[in-house]
This record gives sequence, C-alpha cells and structure tokens, in this order.
Amino acid sequence: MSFQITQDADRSTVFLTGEIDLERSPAARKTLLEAVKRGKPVSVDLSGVSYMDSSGIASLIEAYQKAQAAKLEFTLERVGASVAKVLSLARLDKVFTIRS
Amino acid sequence: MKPLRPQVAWPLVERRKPDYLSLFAALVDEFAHAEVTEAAIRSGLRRIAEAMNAESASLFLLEGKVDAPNARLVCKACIGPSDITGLSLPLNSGIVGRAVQTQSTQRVADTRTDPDFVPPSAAMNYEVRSILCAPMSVRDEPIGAIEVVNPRDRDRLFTEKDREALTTLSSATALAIFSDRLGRDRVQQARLQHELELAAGVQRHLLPARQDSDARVQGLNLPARVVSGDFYDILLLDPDRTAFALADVSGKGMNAALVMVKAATLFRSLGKQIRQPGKLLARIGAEMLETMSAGMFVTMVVGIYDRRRHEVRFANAGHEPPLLRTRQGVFHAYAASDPPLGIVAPAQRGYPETVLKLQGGGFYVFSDGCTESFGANGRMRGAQGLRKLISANVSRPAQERIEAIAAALAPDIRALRDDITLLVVDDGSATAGRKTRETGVLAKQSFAAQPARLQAIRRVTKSAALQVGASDEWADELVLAVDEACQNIIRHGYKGRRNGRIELSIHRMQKALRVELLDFAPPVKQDECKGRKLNELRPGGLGTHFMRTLTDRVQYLRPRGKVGNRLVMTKKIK
Repeated sequence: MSFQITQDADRSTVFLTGEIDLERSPAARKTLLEAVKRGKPVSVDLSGVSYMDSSGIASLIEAYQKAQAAKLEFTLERVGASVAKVLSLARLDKVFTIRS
Repeated sequence: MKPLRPQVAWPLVERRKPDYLSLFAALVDEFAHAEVTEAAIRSGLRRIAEAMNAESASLFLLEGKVDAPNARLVCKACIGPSDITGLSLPLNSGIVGRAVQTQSTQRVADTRTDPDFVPPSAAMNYEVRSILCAPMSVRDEPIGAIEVVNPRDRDRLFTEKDREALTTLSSATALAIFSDRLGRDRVQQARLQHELELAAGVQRHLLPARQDSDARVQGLNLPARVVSGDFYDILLLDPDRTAFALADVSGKGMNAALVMVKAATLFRSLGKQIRQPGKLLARIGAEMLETMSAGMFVTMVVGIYDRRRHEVRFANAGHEPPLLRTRQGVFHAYAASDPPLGIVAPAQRGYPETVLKLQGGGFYVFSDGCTESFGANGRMRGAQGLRKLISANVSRPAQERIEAIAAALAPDIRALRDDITLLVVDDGSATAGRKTRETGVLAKQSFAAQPARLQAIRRVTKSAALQVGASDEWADELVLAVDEACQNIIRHGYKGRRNGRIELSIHRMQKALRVELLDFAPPVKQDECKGRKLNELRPGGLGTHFMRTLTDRVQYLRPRGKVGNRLVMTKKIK
C-alpha cells in the first residue's frame, strides 16, 4: 500500500494514515523520501495515523535528515495524541517542527 | 626395452612462451565461484592443456582416505581426444597414483619405460607417450591430481617450467575444490541444524505446558543440546490426583531424543489408563524393551500425587534416588531397587511402590545433570550440593523454587554439559502463608514472526491489558512495548526469516502485568539489546528504549529449552 502525496506550487504534502508499524513503515518511508526528492518543502500530515512505532519514527527521521541535507523545510502537521506521545518518548518533539 | 627418448635429456623445442601467471589468474577466476562445477573444472583443464600445448588433461579425485586399502582415484573431468571421465584406478596404480601417494609431481617422458604406467585399453585407440601429473592437496591432505598427456608437438617433452606450473595450478585447483567442499559442508551443516531445531520444537511440545503457579506438581527441563534425552510429564488425572514422570535416556543426542519421545508417548497414553505407578512403569518397560537398541536404557520415576491425602505414591526404575525434604529440613533418599527400563523384562507384579506423606515437605525427582553439574568452586555438586540448593530455596513457591534451583545449576546455559530436568511435588502447606504472585493467564497465543502479524499481537495485548481495568493510555504503552519487542525478534532474532514463531503470554500478577515472549531464533546477546543514546539523531535503535521506558522491568531470561530467547516485561498496574 502506498500513501498519498499532494503538491502545490510551494510544498509537497504527504498524508500518512492508519497504523505505521514494521509492516507499513517501508511504504511510508518510500513515500516520504519521494516527497523530499521533489525538492520542495515537505509537510507530513499525520492526522490519519492511529498508531506509530519506532519503525515509523525511523522513516520520519530518515526523511527529515534528507530534507535537512537538501535544505528543505520538513514539518509534521496535525499530529494526534498517540503519535505525539511516541515522538515525545523518542525526544523528537523538540527536533521536528510540529504544527497543530 | 630401450627408451624412445631419454627421461633426463630434454630437447629444446621452440614454441610460444606460455604465460603461466595469466593462466593462474584465469584459473583462480574460474574457480572463484561458490560452486566448483564440472563445467568450471573442464574449462580450467582446457586452459591448462592449451597453455602446455598438451593433447589432453584430466582431473582425478581421491575417493576414500589415502591410507584406506580401497581408496581409488576417479577421473572426474577430462578434455582431449580420448575421454576417460569415470575411469577409476586403485590408489596404488598408475602414474597418477604415484603422484598422489608420493605427493610429488611426476614427469614421465616415455611411458614405456615406467613400470607404474597403466596403458589405456586398446579399445580407446589412444597412445599415451608422455605424462606430467601433479598431486592436489590441501593442508597435507591429498585430494587428487591433475594429469596432462602428450605434448602436441611429438618432438617436444614436458619441461621443468611445465612441471612447476602444473604443480602451482594444481594447488590453486585443490584450494578451489576444498573451498567448494567446505561450502557444501556448511550448507549441509546448516540444513542439519535446521532439522535439529525442528526436532527440538517437536520435543518441546512433548513437554507439558508451564503449570499454573499454584499447581502442586511443577517441572522443568533444560537440554544441554538442541534435543534432549531427558523428559518429564505431568498429567492431571482428576481434580485430586496428578500423575507425573521423569526419565533419563542413556546416551545423548538424537538417538537418546528418539527413545525419549517413545517413553514420553507411552507415559502420556498409558498414564491415563493405569493408575498404579509400579504397574504403569512395568508396562512402559515392556513396550520399550521390544524396540530398544542394544546398550540403551531408560531410568524413570513414575508417580501419582493425591492432593486430598497429601500423599505421593511412586515407583523407580533405576533412576537417581528421589529426595523427600521434610518440613523440618531433613532429607530422605529413595534408591531404586529395580533396574532401568529396556534391559530386562519387568516382573509381572510391576515395580515396587513407595508411599510418602508430604506433610509440608517437598518431593524432588531429578536427572543426573542436576547432581553432576559443577559448582563455582569447580567441583561436582553431587546430591549434597543439590540438597543445599533445595534448602536455600525452600521458602519460594514450588514453580519459582525449581526455576531458581535450575538457574543456580546452570548459570550459563550455553556451557551446560548435561540435560537438567527437575520435578517437584509440593503440597503447598509450607508456603501457604506466602501468596504466589501470579494470579492468572490473560492471554496465550503463538504467532508467525512476521510484520503482518504485529497488528494481531497488538490487539491481543491491548485486550489483555484492558481486562485488568487499566486505562487506555496505560494499555497503549504496554502495546507499544510489546510491539517493539516483537519487532526486535523479527528483525534481529529471526533476521527476516519467515518461518519463525513468537509465543506471547500475558499473566496477571497481583499488582502488575507480566508479558512473556518466547522465540526460537539464535540466542541474542544481552549487550546487543541496548538502545541507542537519544541525543543521536538517526533512524533505528529506539525500540529497546521504548520497551524500557514504557514498562517497569525488562528481563532477558533463560528459555526453558536451550533454543531461542525469553523476554519478560513487567508493568505495574496503575
């Protein structure tokens, strides 16, 4: 299964949905890296994510690092409580730019 | 007979100078693949024949040990006008035999002058005039030889340079063949290991499931090898009576394991019908005797615990004397008066029975691995050492007690020399004042170790967590910890292998939930289970941190069988 990317003039937005675990994180990673490759600031809409584990977090970190290297803005948007908790556990809530 | 050409006087013949260095490189490249195929050998032989301008070249491999009377040299590949592939010679015949036996390259200018020469059959219609034959060996172990025949130029003989070159090329070929055999051996070993793991899995399922913590009869088995020659079993006959057995098969490894399987199966099937331990033991003995291999035997204790009478009735066929430790701390040993099973036909009357009243004491049956293990001082513990361990742990509930004793007997399970099997019957009165900590099993399920099964594992975990009245947030924390642990098993334990299993069980303790994950992957070292530092921003390494943060205790414990890993996470209920 793949995730949706939308693009407007100045931004690519990735919509992650459902449970992002070891089963689905490879598809999430692929979509996130694809969005970064497009060369525009990346927003990741997490409102549809009901669960995320460390493999999902690892995908976000990798995409974030690629975006940093390409000097692209990388933001997490509409982060739900369960994902916020996992980000906080990994102490990444201060690393990522999170917009509600 | 006068030789056509002298063996020492080599005529100088003009010919293209062979580039043996390039040939060596080409040959090494030819054999650089994991598998040395016949095609690769033939191609190598063709290169050698061309470089030496020889009519034919053959490769012989040694079949059998070099000192065995029936050892032979068999031609495995040949190029040239007369194909001798399949030709089999006794090791002590022919020039090739001499090369292998003396481990020196043979240069025969005129075969007619050499008494060891074995001419090809007339049907082959091929004249062998001259031979150069170099032995192949690795680490002084002969494996065969390469032989080149007849320089194409009839006036030329094989030169000293040819001799040196063939010696070197044979070494390269020998190494390639040796590596190939090693690779095949490794594949075979891996296959055997896999089969042993499957056998261990079958055997593990013959052992009884972990008993409820308040069960009066508890047992455990730690196999010294992947498969075990010991077994124990516990059968609930009715609410008041429990049958038990513990046996030790002579010998170790697969033979012992197969006999163990038979003994276990007989106990399980006959134990439900025959409720007199002496007669049951005699019946099992009679069945075992019919098929037992010579020299093998089984020592076995079979008993029945009567909960209402606080009484153990047992019979012993040549097994280590079981021990009764009375409530007052006095030990009584009950030596067997009759021989092990599988040696002589048991008496019709059955094995003699002993009846004991427990009265707050504990009855211990154990395999010799428990008494023959070595203590920290390097000395064998003996029965006395085991008694000390029993006394030191007597205040623990029975299940915890035997686990503690086994942990003391085998602090490093990888160094275990003999199987450890231990069974205790305890009427519970001595520890009645102490509540067992476990109060029930909330979930117990086996899953394929695959990412696609993680969702199901999370559902089962959350459902169990909610059963104890925990908050949704608390349950989600436990779910994440379990998910991370299972991810580790899939990724680092099974390394993506798709046929692995994860056994999940969730137990309710008085004030906590205890999650146990068993897998059958190769043992993971504890120092490989450390999470990464959180200030390092990189993908991966967070799972262990989550497990440790979201639960109160993470323990990597010794699995009940030698195979696999056992992870226990405990989380206090809030």
